[in-house]
Amino acid sequence: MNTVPGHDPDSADVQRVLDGDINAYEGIVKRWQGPIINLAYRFCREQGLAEEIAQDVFLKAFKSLKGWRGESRFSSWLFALALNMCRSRMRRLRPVLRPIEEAERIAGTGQPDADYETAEESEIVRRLVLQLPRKYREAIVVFYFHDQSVPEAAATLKIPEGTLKARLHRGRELLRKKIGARPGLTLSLGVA
Amino acid sequence: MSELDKILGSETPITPAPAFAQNVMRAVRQEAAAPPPIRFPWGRLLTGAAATAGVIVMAGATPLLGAETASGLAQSFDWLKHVILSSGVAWMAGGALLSYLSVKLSLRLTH
Repeated sequence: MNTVPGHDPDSADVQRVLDGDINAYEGIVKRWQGPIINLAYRFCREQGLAEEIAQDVFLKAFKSLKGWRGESRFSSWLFALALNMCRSRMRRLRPVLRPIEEAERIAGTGQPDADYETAEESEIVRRLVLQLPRKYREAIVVFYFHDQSVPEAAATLKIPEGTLKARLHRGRELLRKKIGARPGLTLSLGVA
Repeated sequence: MSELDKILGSETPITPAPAFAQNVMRAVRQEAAAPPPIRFPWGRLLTGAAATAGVIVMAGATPLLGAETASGLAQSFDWLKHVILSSGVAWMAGGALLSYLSVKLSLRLTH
């Protein structure tokens, strides 16, 4: 998210909301709705559910705005809150790998024939990530959500960078095993 | 960059529904307009609990004291009984216990 140096629109909007101007919160929602929905989507792989989770995140953030003291970036605080919300929602709705047909349907939407197989495999791999144990699943999802930035992912997960790297390493190993257990995927991904 | 990095790093972003921000703001305004939650009457509960503890201590000490002191204590005992009854501490203790049990039960069911 780009910001003008010396001017943090989030801090300004938070201050206005705390001063009683509720409409200022709309700026925060519009600025962060995309990233928060996309983060939630990576945990549930359903747009409707991702938007529900994101709405709960913004509502919770509104109620806890006083809790953000400006020591960390507003986005880090919001992402950490979103991660907690995803955790509690996904605890109730255990991530289940949907049938391959659904991955095919999703991957096939609007895709040219040549890319169809790759898109289908990619969707299956992303769903396999959701079957990993929680700490590896979160490490992988958050790391790739932050465009493979270790510092940002570690800040969202509130863990040291070294711990994150170890979890990523182990998580990838487990994921490769899961991919290897699916014969169709093994060859085309080149994962032995 | 490995094949896995390519797949996991190339997710097509989804676009929020057009009315998403409006829906959130509607919920936020409702939240802001809602009356603040009723606070638990800790002051009354603690007063009642202290009075109850006083009664128990006095009741235990009465047989050990002389007749005059015991009579004085009996008056204090009546006053404390009045405090307990008027503060509704029994109801609050019952409510607190019921809340505690229901939270424990729901946590047990979800794990």
